[in-house]
Amino acid sequence: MSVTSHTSFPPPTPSARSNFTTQSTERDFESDLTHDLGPDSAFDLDGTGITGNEEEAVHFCLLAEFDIDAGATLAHQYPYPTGTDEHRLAELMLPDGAHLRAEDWTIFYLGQTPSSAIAPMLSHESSMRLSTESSSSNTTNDDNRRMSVMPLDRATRGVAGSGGGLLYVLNCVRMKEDKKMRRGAMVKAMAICTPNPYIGIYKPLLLLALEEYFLSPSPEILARLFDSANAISTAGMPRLTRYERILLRCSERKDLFEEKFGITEPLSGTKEVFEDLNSEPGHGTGSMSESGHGNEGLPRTGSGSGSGSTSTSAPNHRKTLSSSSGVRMVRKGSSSSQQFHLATPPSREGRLTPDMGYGVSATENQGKRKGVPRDTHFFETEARFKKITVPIRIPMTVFDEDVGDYSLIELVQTFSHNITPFPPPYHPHLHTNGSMTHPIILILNAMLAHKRVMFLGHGLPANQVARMVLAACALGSGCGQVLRGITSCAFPYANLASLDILEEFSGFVAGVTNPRFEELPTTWDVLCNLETGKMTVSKNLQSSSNNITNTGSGGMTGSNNASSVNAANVGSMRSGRSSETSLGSSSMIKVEDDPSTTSGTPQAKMNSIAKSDCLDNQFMDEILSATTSHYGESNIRLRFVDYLNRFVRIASHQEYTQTGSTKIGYPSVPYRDGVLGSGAVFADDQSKQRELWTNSHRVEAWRKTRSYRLFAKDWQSRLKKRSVGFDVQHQIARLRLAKNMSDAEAEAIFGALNNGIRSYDQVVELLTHLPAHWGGLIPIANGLFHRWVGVRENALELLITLQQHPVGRQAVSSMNYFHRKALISLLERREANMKRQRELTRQREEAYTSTTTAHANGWLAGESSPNGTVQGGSTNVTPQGVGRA
Amino acid sequence: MGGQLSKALGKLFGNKEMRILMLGLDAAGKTTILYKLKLNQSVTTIPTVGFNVETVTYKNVKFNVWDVGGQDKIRPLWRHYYTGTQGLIFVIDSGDRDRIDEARLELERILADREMRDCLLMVFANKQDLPGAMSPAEVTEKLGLHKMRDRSWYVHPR
Repeated sequence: MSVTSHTSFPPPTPSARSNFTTQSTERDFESDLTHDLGPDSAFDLDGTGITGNEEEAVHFCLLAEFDIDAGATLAHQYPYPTGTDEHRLAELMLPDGAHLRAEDWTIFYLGQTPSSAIAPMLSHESSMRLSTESSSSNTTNDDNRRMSVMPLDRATRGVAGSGGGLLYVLNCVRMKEDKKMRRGAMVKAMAICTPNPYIGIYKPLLLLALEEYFLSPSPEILARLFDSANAISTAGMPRLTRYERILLRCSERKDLFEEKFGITEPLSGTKEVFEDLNSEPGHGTGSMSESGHGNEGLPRTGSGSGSGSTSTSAPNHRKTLSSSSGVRMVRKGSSSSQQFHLATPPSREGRLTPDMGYGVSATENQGKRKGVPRDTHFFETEARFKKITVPIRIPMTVFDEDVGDYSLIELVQTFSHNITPFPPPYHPHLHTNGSMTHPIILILNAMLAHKRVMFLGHGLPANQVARMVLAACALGSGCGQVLRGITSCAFPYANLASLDILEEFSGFVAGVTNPRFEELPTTWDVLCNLETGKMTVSKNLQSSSNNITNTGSGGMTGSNNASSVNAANVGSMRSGRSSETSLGSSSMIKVEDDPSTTSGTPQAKMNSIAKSDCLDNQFMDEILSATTSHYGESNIRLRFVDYLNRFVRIASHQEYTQTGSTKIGYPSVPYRDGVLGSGAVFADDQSKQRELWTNSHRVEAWRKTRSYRLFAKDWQSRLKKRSVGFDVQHQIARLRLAKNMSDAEAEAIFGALNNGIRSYDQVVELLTHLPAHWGGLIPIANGLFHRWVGVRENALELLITLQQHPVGRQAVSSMNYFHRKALISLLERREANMKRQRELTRQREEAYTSTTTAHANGWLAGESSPNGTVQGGSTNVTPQGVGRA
Repeated sequence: MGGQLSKALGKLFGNKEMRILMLGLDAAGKTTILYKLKLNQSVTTIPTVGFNVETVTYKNVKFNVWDVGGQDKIRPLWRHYYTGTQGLIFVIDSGDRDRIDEARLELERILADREMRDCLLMVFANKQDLPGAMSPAEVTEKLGLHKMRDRSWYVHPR
């Protein structure tokens, strides 16, 4: 039961976490923010294959049992006490009704409040060095070391600041009836505390260990669990950057980023890489000389493939892994260049030819590289408990605040099967579409407005309410991808023993199974009943609800009151505009004195506000029809993430139009005189008004929350570290949505994209804005058909740049037939041009040779030795010159 | 027993919907009573983790009966159930003479709570079949019920 390898490098962990989590979430905002910068920077500083020197995967193992004489008792903690109140832990581990079912699971977090935090003195790292250092110097040391070490460490997971720097607890509870026992049954629970959001992977281990504990109740089993959980190897697991993760989420391909996986042993891994490097250039040049024309169409050598493939000179921080990817890229690059000219393969099932090279290289490599998963959305490894080996799949698309296993589909279906109009009164931030607000949208609104949301599942297993809470968190955070700060006030399982903690929070989302909570309406703002699908807004919120009716009516005065009955598109448009303008002052709008006497009027007004064609409702209709047509969970998640992303864009737009600046996005300005536009893009004025109308109250509420402030902070740091210097999303959205676009704007957009997207990181970022479910590269590919040759050239160049990276190649290969055909014919045309040009140059050169030999600039130098210097292994410099042509 | 008890409850409480809280030391028999009420048959129970709650209808009166686990460590949670409670059933293991004093202290503590001021009290002297069990009168005396002037109470034997 010794603490093995992990001692060597005690990394930022519980104490780091508890250092600041010992303040309440309400108070520690600032420190929270500074800590929060950590993971974000870590996202960009992606590392290579991970070996040792990591943060422990599991920090504590706990065992609780329901003592038939004493009640819920925490029996063991390993490796040492967490410092959290033992009785509270025991209560959370032994959920209400645990005696009613053979097995259940609870999820809860440590570190949300001082009382539920790991005690700093007992924390992991300080205890490890407890003997030598005094506690005071220890903490400062820790702080320093943490700051310096964090980015190198496995910092993306659970590190302090990832929304609270929490430890996530997964707990398995089992009841076993045993007639021989006094009172006939035993209830025991075992839990692990981990900073990893993908807690689900520990389920099999917990089950095994708990089973073992029932057989022989000894604390040693906790030690064994602890050791085997921490021994799960993550060697060869890639660390994906933020944009890579987003891209992976959007992709259904099972081989995306395949090149980043594997290389289990660092030594042999590098060797392989070198072998590849050695063999490759030969191969590359070979193919090049064979088909002399082949390479020209391909990479923009100077910047792109050069940095991509030769790992040593690579300015980006990818080391071994990217070198391997570079190698494969080279091969693929060269072969794909051939493929281009071998015309389209009908047998490839619509895939563009570069894939062929890809397929070859994949099979070639499979023999050498270990650990390449069947589906790159997961890293495959295994755990051993006693003599049992359990396969473990670590999801690669998880963000720090995307905790546990949940199903948005389940959430949507639970609260969509029994929809009745909400009764008045209405709350502006919750009932954003009056009585017709969709329940799921109401949950989303409540999460964004930082209200107290409670999921009640009386008689249901605790894990079911926990899943609902996790799903609600995903709803409010865009699956951890868009917003942060929700996890730190999420209580997937809570009970009456948690009431005092819940009371410390002005907003939370909690899951309970005790119907007593229904009778305590002062403890929640929105109660979501899993059994009935009914959603109740607490009466206590109603005092402020007059605001909404007034905001609504205020916003709609004149314009919409008259046309209230037939509030069609025009009506909504007007109301949108007016509510937008009135927003700033909406809080000051008069409050009606007595809600009971005037309730009729506001209701009428609210009903007039409620629109069946509200965008939210349309969105939910789409979601529902998607679920009924059996779209998968990942697809539904993408839709919600998109919706939340859009919400933030709208919020930024609203902020910008109201205050003249925005802290959460690019300013909302259209394209003008050669200067690119930025900010939210709307298809037309009418949809703009509708969208603003739908979102305005929600935005208003969100802007007052911690989530907003965290996002503003994130935005600032993202701005500093961005790899593309302009608002890519705006440009793509323009290309996708704009009904009219001047040729000049098209040229500006494609010019900027072509010039701004060069490096791997930039390519990945661009691709995140062009996900398959939005038609992939279509907005770019359409540029191939533009009437201006400059636009076409830039589009072509951009696609060529994309081709230099496996991700880009995959995206290009999934373009439709017409786009690929256009791409190929443009390439051919360019090639013909190039040939002609080369001949011209040669003629000129011949003329020059007599006069000067030395006067060769880079352009000419490249030209003069087309089969010579191999940069990046595959191609020479020509395309650069062509790019300018 | 169920029928008898329901009648007893009916006598005590007259209106249409009642919220009943059933408390008592661990292993007193609360859950058994609850399911006897609900199903009118004896079931084997195991220690309650948290609570059980059932709705029992008798003579058009709906009783929401909450049965909350009684072990020492979880008794502090009882207070969360007080608000809105109209009737308290305090269950005594009549065979457990050792802990009758502990039971009296707990009962006093419950009744001292503001939220329980207007609550009706029924003491259920359970497990009368055990040899040497305390009689309802004895239980009444040991719990000091006679000293309670401002509360209506009732001791039901079984």
